[in-house]
Amino acid sequence: MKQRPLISILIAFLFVQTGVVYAYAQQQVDEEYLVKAVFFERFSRFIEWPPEAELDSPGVPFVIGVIGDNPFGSLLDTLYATKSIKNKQVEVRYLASIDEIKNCHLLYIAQNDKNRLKEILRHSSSSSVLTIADSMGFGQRGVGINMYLEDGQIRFEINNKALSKSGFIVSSLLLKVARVVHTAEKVKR
Amino acid sequence: MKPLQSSISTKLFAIIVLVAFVSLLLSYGLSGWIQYLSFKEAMVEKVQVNARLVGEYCVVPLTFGDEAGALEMLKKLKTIRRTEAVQLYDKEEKLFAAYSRDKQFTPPAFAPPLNPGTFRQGSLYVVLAVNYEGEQYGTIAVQAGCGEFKEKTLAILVRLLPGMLALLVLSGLLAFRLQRLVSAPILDLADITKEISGKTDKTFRLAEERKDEIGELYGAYNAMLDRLSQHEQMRDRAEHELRRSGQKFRDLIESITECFWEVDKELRLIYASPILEQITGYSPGETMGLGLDELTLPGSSENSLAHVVAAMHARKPFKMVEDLFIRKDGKKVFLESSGTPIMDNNNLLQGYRGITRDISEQRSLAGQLRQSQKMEAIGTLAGGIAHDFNNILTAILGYSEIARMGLPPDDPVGKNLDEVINAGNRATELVKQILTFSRQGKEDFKPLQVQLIIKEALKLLRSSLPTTIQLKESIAADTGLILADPTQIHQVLMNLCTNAKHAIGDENGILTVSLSQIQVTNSAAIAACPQLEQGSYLDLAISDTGCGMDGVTRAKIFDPFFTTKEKEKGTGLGLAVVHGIIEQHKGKITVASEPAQGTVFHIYLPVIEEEQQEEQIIIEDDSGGSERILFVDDEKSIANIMQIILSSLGYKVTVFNSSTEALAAYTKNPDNFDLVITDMTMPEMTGTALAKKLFTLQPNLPVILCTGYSEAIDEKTAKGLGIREFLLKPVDKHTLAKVVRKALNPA
Repeated sequence: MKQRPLISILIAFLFVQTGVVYAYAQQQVDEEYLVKAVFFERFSRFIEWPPEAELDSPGVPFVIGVIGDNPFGSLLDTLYATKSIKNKQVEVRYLASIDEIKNCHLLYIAQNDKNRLKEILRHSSSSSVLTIADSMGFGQRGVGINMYLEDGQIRFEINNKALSKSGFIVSSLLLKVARVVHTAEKVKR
Repeated sequence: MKPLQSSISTKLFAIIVLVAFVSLLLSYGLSGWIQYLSFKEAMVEKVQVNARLVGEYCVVPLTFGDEAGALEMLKKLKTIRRTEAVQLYDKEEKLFAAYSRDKQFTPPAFAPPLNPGTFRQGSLYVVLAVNYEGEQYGTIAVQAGCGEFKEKTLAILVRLLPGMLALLVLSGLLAFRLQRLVSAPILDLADITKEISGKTDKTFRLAEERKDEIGELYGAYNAMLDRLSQHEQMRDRAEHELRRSGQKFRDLIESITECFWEVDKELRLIYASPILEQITGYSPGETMGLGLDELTLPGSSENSLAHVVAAMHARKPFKMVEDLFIRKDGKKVFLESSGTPIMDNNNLLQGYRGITRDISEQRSLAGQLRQSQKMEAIGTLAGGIAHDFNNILTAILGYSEIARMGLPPDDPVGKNLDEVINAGNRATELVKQILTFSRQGKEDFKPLQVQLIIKEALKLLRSSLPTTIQLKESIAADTGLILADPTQIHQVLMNLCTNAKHAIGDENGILTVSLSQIQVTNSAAIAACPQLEQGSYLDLAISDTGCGMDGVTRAKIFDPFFTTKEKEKGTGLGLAVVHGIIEQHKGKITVASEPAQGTVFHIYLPVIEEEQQEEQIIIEDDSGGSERILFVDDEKSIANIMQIILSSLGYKVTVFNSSTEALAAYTKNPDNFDLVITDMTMPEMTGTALAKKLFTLQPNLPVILCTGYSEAIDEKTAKGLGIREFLLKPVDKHTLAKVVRKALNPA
């Protein structure tokens, strides 16, 4: 029976390794989305919502809406349970319908909602909602802030024109650091 | 180099330029410094501003952890020249991003404390907080080099330098001109002061134009000049007075024969007038400064010196202190000194002043006076005695002559009487000698057979010589006559013989007196006496074998007051008088002597012509007369004798023993008498008084004055009164007869 322990150890090790890798990978993914989640708050520091957003009214929470598949898991909830945005308590809503967009201040558009993007944007742009996404090309499609990975760093591109059209004022400081993108003209078929 | 010795204008100029230089330098430095500071400030500000700006840009990178983005921002600070290093620290003060020029530079890992700007080791360190909307996102630290503004400051200074130099030169020029305002009047004053002592114009004054301190100085200077000129005038006056006073003093001092001296309070001689030398033989220079105890006063007695010293110690004056003093040349003089103390304001003794004079002459004159008074007294005595003697002799001679008259010539008794008469005559001569000797100073030159005088003198002398001294004589009998005063010749002889006697002293000795006639011709001049002119001389020699004299004494014997005898034994006048007498007689006296070998005096007297000889005294017949004679003499015996003699001559004689009776008698009958013979000394009325009275009655009355001694009257005076003839008692018959006849004969 001397061999058994060794194998057990190996297997155990393997599991652990896998676990670690998984955990690591998971951690990696968690980490990325943690950072992104944190970034929501950070972006908000450098952006002024239009007056219609009524961010000054007390008692009204800051609403973060997530539309599409939630990549964050419970991160948003955990994070924004204690953290405030714009000195307001944060409410995280996982939107079921587009109509709920207007009630949000910040909207995260998940990846798989490519098709619905236009509509989403239509709703958001008229409702003083800051749109944030992390899918390629979303910025040019009109999303306000689009995050992307580069060299292991999370960078973001800002569509300032779209934002200012919605009445947002973005601090130049942010703009300086971000990649400024413009809404691409639709290719006429 | 002694800066303080330079002129005031130089000093002023230097001061002004120095001040200007210092101020310019200071302001230059100050402005440079201020510039430097402002550059620093500017730099700090610039760095701060840029740091803040860049920090702001770093907020987002900090927020999103964008290190690269942050670094890019940091690099923007490159534009600030001299940025050496920039660091960005996050919220946790951990280094987030850093950039430095120097690649080796390691930035601090943790944020340094906030620092608005400090300079350390040539670099500026600014550490600022990176804030956004009230929240600190991190820290930015900037390090910048300071070289830039140092260079800038230097550049400014260089730019300023020409201006500064120009200002300096300008201030120098201004100083040069403007310092004159102050220095010129002072320099003028200095120049004037130098000249003023040489200026003859004493009224020169400075122009008082300015009102400042210089003006005051000028004013004060003028006032001082005024005072000076005043003082000068006063001093000139005082000097003049002093000179005059000094001259007066000198004139006074030099015109008196006394020596004026002064001693200080230590009794040291501080002044003696030049007469000192004449009196003592010592010049003031030789005696100056000597104290009384140092001044050897040769010849002085203890007493008189002690007296003076005692007076001086008692601060009392002393008067007429006499003392003997031996002069520098050895001569003895008598000095008399008087002194008075000099006191100062506090009654302290300052010294003594006084005079000293030579009283030797005074003393000798006093001695002479005493001597002559003695002689006078003797003379008076002698005269008195002689008078009595004469009377007695008159009687002796008279009666003897009368007795002789009655006897035949070769009667033995008569011969005895002749002897009596001779003796009487001799006695008469002797008395005459005594009288002539006592009668001093009256000259009576007449042709003289000097042998007679010599013989008489020797007679007197013989009686006074001690037995130890032998008297030898060698008198030539027939020599010529000399024109001489018998009294004085007698005096001379006595003097010389007395000296010879003293020279011999107590020893055995020989005194020789000789007389001879000599002829002086050119070839046979007297060696010892070359002044004798040609002619015949009598050589009267007196020699002794006494102690003799040395050359020194011999030279001085004829000097007045010179004597080898002690005080009181001789005044020293004897030989001087002898010398004088011989000179008056136109003769010469010489002396030859050697110590211990004796002395010889030669007296040379000129012989007179034969023609001048008086008639020889020949025996004449006594001529008589028959006139009436009034005879007055209080001595009865004399009157008696006279009566007999005159009667024998044929005259009719009336005798009175009282002058008043005689006068009464004459007055009663003036025509009764042809001649009056009267004695001189009579009680009631003297002969001359009687004569005068008689002359009032009969002016031409022949009067003969007959007197025993001539004290009261001499021939000249008598004849001046009107008296015809003058007779000396005792009168011999022959003389009486002659004179009476002469008086009665018509003039």
